[in-house]
Amino acid sequence: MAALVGLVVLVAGLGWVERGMRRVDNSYTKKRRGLEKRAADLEVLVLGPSGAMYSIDPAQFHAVTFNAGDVSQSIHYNAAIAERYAPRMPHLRLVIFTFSLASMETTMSDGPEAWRQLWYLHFWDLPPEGPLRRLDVRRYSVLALYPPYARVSALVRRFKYDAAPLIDENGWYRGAIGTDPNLEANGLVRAATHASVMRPIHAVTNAAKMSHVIEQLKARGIATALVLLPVSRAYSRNFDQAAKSRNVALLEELASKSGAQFANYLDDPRFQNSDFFDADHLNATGAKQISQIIDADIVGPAARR
Amino acid sequence: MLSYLIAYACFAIVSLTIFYLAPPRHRWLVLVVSGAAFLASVGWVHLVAALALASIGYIAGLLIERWPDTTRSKVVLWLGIALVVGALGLCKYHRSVEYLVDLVTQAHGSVSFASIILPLGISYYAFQVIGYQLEVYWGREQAERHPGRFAASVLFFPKLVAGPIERPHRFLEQLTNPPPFAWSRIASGLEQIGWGLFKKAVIADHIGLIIDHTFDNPTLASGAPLFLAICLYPVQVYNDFSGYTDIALGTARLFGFELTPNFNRPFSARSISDFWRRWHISLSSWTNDYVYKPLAFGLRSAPAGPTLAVLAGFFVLGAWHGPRLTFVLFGLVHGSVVAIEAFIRRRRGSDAAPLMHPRIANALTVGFYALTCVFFRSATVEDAGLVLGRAVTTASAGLHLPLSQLFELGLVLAILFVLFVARRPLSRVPLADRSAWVRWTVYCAIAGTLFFLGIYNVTEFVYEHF
Repeated sequence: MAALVGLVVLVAGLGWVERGMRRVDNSYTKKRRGLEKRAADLEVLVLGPSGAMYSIDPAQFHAVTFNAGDVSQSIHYNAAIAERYAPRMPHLRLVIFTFSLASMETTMSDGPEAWRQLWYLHFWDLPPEGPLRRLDVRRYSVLALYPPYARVSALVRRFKYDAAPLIDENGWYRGAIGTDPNLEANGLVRAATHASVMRPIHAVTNAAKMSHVIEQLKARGIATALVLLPVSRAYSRNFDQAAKSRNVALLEELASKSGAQFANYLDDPRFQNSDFFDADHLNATGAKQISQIIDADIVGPAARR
Repeated sequence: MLSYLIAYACFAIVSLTIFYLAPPRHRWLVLVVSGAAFLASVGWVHLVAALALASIGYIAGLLIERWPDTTRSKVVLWLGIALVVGALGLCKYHRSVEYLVDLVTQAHGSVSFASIILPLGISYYAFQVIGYQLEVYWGREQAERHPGRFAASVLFFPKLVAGPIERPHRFLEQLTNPPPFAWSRIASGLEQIGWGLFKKAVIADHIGLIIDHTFDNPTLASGAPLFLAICLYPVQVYNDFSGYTDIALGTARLFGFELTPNFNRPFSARSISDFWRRWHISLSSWTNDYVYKPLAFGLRSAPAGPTLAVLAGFFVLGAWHGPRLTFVLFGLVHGSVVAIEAFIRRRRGSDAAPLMHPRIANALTVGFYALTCVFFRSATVEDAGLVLGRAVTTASAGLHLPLSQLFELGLVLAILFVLFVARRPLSRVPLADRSAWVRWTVYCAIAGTLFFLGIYNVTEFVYEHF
């Protein structure tokens, strides 16, 4: 009897928490909701990894824009979001894909952030990039996805909780304030970390996915821009130079073959250390600057075409 | 581990059901098939490696027993050991071999074993097979004649990931005379699995969230975070490994087997010698029985014989963890202290009063272990030096943890405080004598805490990589 009562209480309690956690906001739910809410009048869509999320402030654009970039968002997911939502956006005229130096040679599924695939599965309803274990608890439980701190915070607030409060209504991350005092040392570490997860073999499939999505967008009359965002000098200097040249060349080739615009701001001298939040992400000041530059270089001309 | 709980539970339940439905004399087959399926699910090469080493051990055991006390048995013994050590060395230390060959030939990349992977659990079952051959050679145990039962002792799945390093005869005796099914054993096994999961997912993995980044990026860390990482790492590795061991022992108990316990309150040790009688017992007792004792006997006439034997034992113990100089240094430093302690004991006599108050001795032992763990955790000796150096030179830097990490730290400290006040390790809380209501209230509270506060993203155990 005691066992039965105990188990019923346990299962009911966990079920209640699981149901509550499904109501909690996070970057994925906010981005999806924001995108779907603006689908009818969206003109520019921004996609990419954390660089996009930190660096592109849609408020600086002279067009209705939403930033759907997210941390470690791979080419697979950028393409999937563009392909799913472009048909639902009658006014969309430009999709900006941002890249890091590692983007073309990485996938989410074979990197250290493979677990993020489960978030896309739960909150974007997007198929995983690589195989997932069928009996992984996280496939079935949202509670299991969140870190314990978020679970406790959500429970304390009776699940009326935003786990990503610094993402604004345009999808931009407005929390990157100030500059990492260890920018030099971090540049070395971050460059090495990113280089360690790069596999040149992924460039082929990523290029194919990009070509496919660009073709699909082109067929709908939507222009595409490929943007390499600025990084700190420390990061750029410490990045494997051969890999760096190879990836810049890959993006140039992709753009020229598919007819997309390519803009390389990687080592742009207009950005100083004070514009960076950390080694490979701009802070809010740098984000405003690059967003205005992209508006002038890409968004404006695309509107005039 | 929590993420794979459904998979592990399903696998264990299916194996367990078939095991108890099978006639006792054929239960070995269930263990062999379940072990083989477990390894094959990771990759066929893992299964092939385990079967190959089990075959070597089985055949060597039979041949050694067939020719007792002869040169032939000695040849078979050394050949058997060489094959097992060779396989282990090739899989585990191939990068070191490549480096040595390059050094000798003065050419870069003259040999490459890049395609070799480390078979799951090979370090554990290889030592088990070596121990078995030596026991048979010394005539202390009989060779197992049934190949299936011997294979079951190697392939028993609960101990495949990270041990314990079982003595085959202990296991084989239990397999030959299996105890009847008992609900009390199932309850006890589940309880131990629960404690193990709690240690792993609620204590060890939370500590990992606080300190992993510090150890992984020693150039970026300073002062208090480094000091905190040095203090918490032993707690992390203990809860990770003993958590795994509890899961393995608990699962084995469901099948009616008692595996070797790996821990006996190691942080209550009052000397390093005492510590190694309490920490990773299956490995330390293995090196004691199969490295230290034979060497100490062989070198008994040499004045430095006992010291050399201790150092050799601890060299093996350190190098067992992997092809890193940091592990070897970790072993040798511990071996040196154990040798010094033995020397002092010999000089002072066994009945002499302790040199210091037991609590001071305990604090020094744990402190020493924590410091040497920096070598154990760091990828290179340079990194270890950096961690220790920066912990001292930047000691004034404060602890600026984000709110989420402060939460992790508070949670871990609260649990450790409760355990300290209770003065007993998790797995020894006596619940069996309490009423069913008390028991189930505690079980559900623990399970609720585990599922609500556990970390799901960490899917590996520290000792899985050794």
